[in-house]
Amino acid sequence: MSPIASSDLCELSVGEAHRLMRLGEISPVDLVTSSLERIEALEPSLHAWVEVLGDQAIDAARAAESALLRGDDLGPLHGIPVAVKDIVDVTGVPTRCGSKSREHAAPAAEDAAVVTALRSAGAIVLGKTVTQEFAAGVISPPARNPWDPTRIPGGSSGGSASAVAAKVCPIAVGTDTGGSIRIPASVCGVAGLKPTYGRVSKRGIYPLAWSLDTAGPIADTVEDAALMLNVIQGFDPLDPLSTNEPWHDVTEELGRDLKGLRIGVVRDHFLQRVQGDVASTFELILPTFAELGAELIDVNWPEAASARAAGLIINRIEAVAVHDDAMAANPVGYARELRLRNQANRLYPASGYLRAQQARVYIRETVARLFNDHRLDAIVVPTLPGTAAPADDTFVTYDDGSRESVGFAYTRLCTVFNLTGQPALSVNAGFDRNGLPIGITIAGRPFQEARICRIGQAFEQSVKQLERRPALLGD
Amino acid sequence: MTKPNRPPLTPELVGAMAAAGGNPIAPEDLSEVTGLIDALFEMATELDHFDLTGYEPEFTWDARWEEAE
Repeated sequence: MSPIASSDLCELSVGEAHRLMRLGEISPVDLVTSSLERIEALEPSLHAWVEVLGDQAIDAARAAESALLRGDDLGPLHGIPVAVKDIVDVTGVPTRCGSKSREHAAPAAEDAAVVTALRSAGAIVLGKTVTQEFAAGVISPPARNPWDPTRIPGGSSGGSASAVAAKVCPIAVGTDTGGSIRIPASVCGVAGLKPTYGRVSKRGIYPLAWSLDTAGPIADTVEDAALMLNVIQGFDPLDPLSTNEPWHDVTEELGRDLKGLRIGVVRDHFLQRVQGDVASTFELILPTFAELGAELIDVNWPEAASARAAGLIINRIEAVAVHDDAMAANPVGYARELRLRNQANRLYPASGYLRAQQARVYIRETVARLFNDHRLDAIVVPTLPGTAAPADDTFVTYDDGSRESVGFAYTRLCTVFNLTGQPALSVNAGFDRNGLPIGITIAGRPFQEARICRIGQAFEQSVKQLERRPALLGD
Repeated sequence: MTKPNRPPLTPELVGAMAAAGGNPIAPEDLSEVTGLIDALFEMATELDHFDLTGYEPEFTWDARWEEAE
């Protein structure tokens, strides 16, 4: 038997769990039981789950165990527990989207495409995780951050990131329209991969803003994120916004050093107003990429500073269209903040929305030129200007004493990559003076997730200060 | 592309626009809604310095339909 305590099995990476399962040292039932026990222990502090599907998960684990004993191999995620954000359909479970307006929603008739793909690869759905109402925010109440449960886990995929950071499960489904995978990944100290727009089907996922929405992995390690993206990627003819691009192996470059790669360092917009610990950590870790063999090139991308405006306008106006009928039918079902926001944004002119879409094309052109002119494989920037904010005071406070609401602060550096559509991976890069995680983002060329995962994994494995765990989990 | 300064939005104007669009706003919410839409207009000014002439928004649109059997 494995020397790992049964209560800690849920801390195994996908690859390690898979290896031990194949050796017969652990079973899917052991693994899922460990996850469920950890949820029970931590949920009073973290509030990360909307619904835990314990019985279903155990049944699925038993089936996975039988399959293993028969010698069947169901796929790369065989027996691996996964969390699913509650705007993503899971058969038989209402998709409540964190909104009272959907309190009595009918159970989903079928799985979202990503859930179908995960189950086909052998994954076991543990349950649904907390999201901000309709994924429109970065706080994700009532979920909390495992690194400090008095603080927010970010959002809108906050429950998923909290669960992964608490090592309940190694992978979770998130969605990202203005940063909603990378924001919680950064403040919870885990990996979050927003794939290229159109790479992952959105069928069965409640939309926030059609032209920006992306689904992707939140994972304990970059390798696990890559393994999960391998499973959920692919053209879906039933999703009109899916891109008909051939399947690429996202893991194909993992384990390699960074020799021959060119990484752009963008400071202008991305270090303009950030907490001192974020700036110093960013500068501290940059040489790591060079030590791994990459060439670092200082570049400027001034147009990035205007990207959040374009992204926010597109996001807000599309969201009005998504919710108009439902909100008219049930206005009190929506929280006041979202209801008033939609009422306001309904008055914004269509010409302004279209100008934002024009700006998007222009800004994408500027980043393509930046990559091509400097022959870049990726750029690296801080993910967020600050760390996890207190749940009772949701502002980022800067070193000069100024404050910015998390809604504005957390999206300021993230939304640009939703606008351009390029893939962006947030990985933990260190900790601030309060022991809270700081993330960096590695953004690449469209459909080159394999390259940014190679960079992210090499970085992750070489930075020793990352070998910490939330105090909540004990030693 | 710099636009002339826009006049500030007032709750009266916002209320009238909303009513004209068939979506009246409750009087107690008017001030807050005005602030929200004003902030969006203000944010849009960040795009004013771009010359976007010739840049067409991209929308995926497939004009084919399924033929009857």
